[in-house]
Amino acid sequence: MSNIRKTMGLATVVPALVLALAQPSDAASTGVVTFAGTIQITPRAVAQQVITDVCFFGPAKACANAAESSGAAAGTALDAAALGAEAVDGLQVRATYTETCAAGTGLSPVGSAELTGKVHDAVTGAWSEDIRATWTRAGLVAVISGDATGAVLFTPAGVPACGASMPVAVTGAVELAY
Amino acid sequence: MTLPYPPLEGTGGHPSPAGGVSPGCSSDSAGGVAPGAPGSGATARGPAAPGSAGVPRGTTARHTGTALLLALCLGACGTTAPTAAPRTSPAPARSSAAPVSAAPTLSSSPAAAAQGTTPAGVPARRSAPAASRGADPSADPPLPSGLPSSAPLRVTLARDCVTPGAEQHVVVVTVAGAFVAFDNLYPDHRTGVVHGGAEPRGRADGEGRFTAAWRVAPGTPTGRVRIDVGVSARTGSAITMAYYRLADRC
Repeated sequence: MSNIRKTMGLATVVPALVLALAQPSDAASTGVVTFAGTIQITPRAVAQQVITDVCFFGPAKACANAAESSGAAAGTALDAAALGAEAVDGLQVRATYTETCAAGTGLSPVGSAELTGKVHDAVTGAWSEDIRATWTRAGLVAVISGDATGAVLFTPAGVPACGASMPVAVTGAVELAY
Repeated sequence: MTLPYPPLEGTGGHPSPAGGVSPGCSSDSAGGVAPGAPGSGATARGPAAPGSAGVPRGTTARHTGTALLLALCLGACGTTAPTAAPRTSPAPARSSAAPVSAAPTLSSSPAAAAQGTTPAGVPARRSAPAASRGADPSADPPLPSGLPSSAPLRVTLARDCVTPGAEQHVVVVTVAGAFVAFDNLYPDHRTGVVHGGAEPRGRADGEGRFTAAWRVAPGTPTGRVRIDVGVSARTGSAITMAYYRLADRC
């Protein structure tokens, strides 16, 4: 019995080792960037697209989109052009969003956005190529899909008024492969 | 985050008195059952319960008749005093200790719920029957339309009633490795960041499961609590909402 067990164990272990060795390390890892910060949105009574630039790049740093940093981002992204992972320490996004509202009800339960972002390479100091994704929010959470995949908490820091800018805390994580 | 959270609940545009928080949920056992819950009783009484969502697509007279009977039965269940019936119902999902599930699937159909592999979403089909039941203010609001639903998502709460200071647990079943975010919207419009129960960076395991537990802060105002859950993977994403009661006594 012991020989049988040993044989079965080897049969299980060896293919696993072969598979592990066959895969490049980057393929096994995922590039996940976490972020936390505050964005400003302006809900509208009538659905219309609004553009805002967001920057999460730590304090005293400037994004290429000239937006003031209001948060931080960190992690790794898989850069297909560079054939590997790169350390990320900043994130900038142009969001074309639709958030509606109505008097007495606050924000609409759902909102959406088209995102075009870049991540900052902590080593080279360069910004990445554009990363495109869509954002769909419902209530207090949002999901991101496209070149970036992730989930976000969306926490308005105040009572929204139609046509007025309001701060929203966003915290989440995305997997980047571009 | 200490500022009061604005009402986000959308139930078709009418003013929600407390951001989707029912004022009567302490007496509403239906309040603990998420829309579209796959449990037997919950499924029947959920906002998405009656109507065509649960009707199979069969075209034979027998199937149609069966479907009509089923729809009538479900419709009757969905329109009869959901505030009182669940208390006496043997349906396990109505117990305060029973798990509460929400799957933004066509889970108004018991068959669909049992499959458990239906992609999440299709809230529009859920909201119509609920709107027709609108006379019951204590019923859980329907899910808003427009939710992403390209990934499977099932949310199960350990309890449909929790007392302040006690623990609540959630189990999310979705795509393996999916990102998971959830937050609670409490009766005072504050979130889980304040009262407990917020996770922005969860990941489902290799089997697609994500679990979390939190303690609701003592002193949290009682009422209906909404939990929003979002998942996203490369193969799809989904968002759903579930409800439970926060009461001084369960």
